Amino acid sequence: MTQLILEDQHGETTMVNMGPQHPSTHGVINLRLLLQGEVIAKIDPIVGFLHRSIEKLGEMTPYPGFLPYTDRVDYLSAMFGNQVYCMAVEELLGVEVPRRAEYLRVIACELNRIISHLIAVGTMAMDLGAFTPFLHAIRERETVNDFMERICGARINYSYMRIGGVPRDLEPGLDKDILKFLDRFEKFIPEFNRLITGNEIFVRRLIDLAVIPAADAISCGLSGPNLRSSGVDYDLRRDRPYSAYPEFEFRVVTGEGYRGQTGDCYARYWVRIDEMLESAKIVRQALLGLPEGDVKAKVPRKITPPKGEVYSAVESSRGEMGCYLVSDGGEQPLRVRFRTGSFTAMTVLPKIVPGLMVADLTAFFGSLDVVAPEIDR
Amino acid sequence: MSDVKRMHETLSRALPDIPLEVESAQAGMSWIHVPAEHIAAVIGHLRHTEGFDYLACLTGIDTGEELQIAYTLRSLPDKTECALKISLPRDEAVVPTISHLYGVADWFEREVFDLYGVHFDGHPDLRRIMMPDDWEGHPLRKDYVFPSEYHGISAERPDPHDLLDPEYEACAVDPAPKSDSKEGSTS
Repeated sequence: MTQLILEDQHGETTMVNMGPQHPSTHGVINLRLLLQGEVIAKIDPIVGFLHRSIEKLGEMTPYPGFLPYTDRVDYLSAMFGNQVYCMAVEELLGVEVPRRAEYLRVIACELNRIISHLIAVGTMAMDLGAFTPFLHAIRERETVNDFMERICGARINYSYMRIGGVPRDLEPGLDKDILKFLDRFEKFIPEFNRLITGNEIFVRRLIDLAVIPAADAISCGLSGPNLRSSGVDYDLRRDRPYSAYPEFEFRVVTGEGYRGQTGDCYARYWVRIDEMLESAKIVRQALLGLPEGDVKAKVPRKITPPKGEVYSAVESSRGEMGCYLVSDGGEQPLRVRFRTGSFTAMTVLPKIVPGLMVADLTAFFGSLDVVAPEIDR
Repeated sequence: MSDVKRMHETLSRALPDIPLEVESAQAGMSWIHVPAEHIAAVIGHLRHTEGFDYLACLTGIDTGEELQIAYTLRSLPDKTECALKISLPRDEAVVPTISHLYGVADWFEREVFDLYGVHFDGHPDLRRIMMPDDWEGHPLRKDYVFPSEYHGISAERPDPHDLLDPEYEACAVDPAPKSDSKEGSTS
């Protein structure tokens, strides 16, 4: 039994449970709202409904066997969970990943970012009542899901990467198909923009709403598109370089507030739209410059990293996904901890939400692009 | 490596009363070990003077002998990182909070409190976050005993290998007799 922790101290107020079963909470999250009329006076987010104790499972599973669990940390961008875990183990082992494998990882991750952002912008429009954009986004996502199936055999929970590289090379002809898709996708974004991004009703609904100042965004540990839309120019791919990212040219998209202000809901939406195009650029560069060579380094069958700790971080679709891995020299990690973008994004709610209308909370929450399993892990 | 040593020198000069040590293991990164009672002062100094404006990660670790908390701080403008660690006794783990320095530390500390049972002194709202409020024990501790049930919901599953055994009795608990359930539905 959870206690009612909101106190009635604002005169005439109403306590409302938004969720745990609510279409706009993107999963099982309970937002306890204290309302004064239509205005939210206080919010208390209750999470943990999807806690699957992945971190405890990690301590009970041998290193290679834990990989499929990392898909389930964030099911919409499973590649990043794979990558951050593999990077942590590789760093402890001192394994150098072949360059071709790094390129293949980048291709897989950036395709994953595209489809994850497609879901993000599609569901955000759906939260506001526009259903059609979601279907357009899902249509493009299906094509990439097919590519993912051809890359690794799975459409959602990839388990693509291995400690030391990737298990197999691209099948012949796949690179041409992906390039053909990218040509189409770069035309799809303007089409999508005509459909919804530039729609005046949609824009007016989002501009100047729930502005997160840069100082708050940094203090609350926001990361990824949420941090950049507040005007903070920070991207782990560029500023804490990993994998093959230093070899590619891409622009770090920050919220400029060309409609409305920097850090409002529209900026968060726009950063994701723009990032998809940058990801497409990276995939194209990686495919055209794919080096020859092995796709997997030689690693022992039984993986026992030496004693030590490491914090690896990747720029996931939802911000910084970090893995704090501690090894005691055994076959299983002593501690494996996932730091996720959704978890930290939730901490900004009590700061920003009070003063918003109930209907605006849906827009704001959609713009944060939070995935519930990633909060709870 | 050199980053940590440089930061250690800077900190030792600024806070001479606090014993700080650079530690590392066979592989991976090195970190600065801080006495638990001084952690808020050290992080406060890093936050306000050295420009470490971002708390990237805060996590608990149970080595089996002691509890540890690892802090990963980052400076977004300088693109540098600083790893700090504290050690705590298993039975009386109390540490000053840093939730007044970083907004995100509020939830990070709640998570460590929930899963490791570390008490953060001065935290404004220290309650469980992942587990239900009435949960017993702290699951990520190495000596945690898995409960067999929660509010009448069994947490025990048969071993799949046992199911292949023809002698295996399908259900350890007898299902309710059929006649009883019929009576229950008619009355």
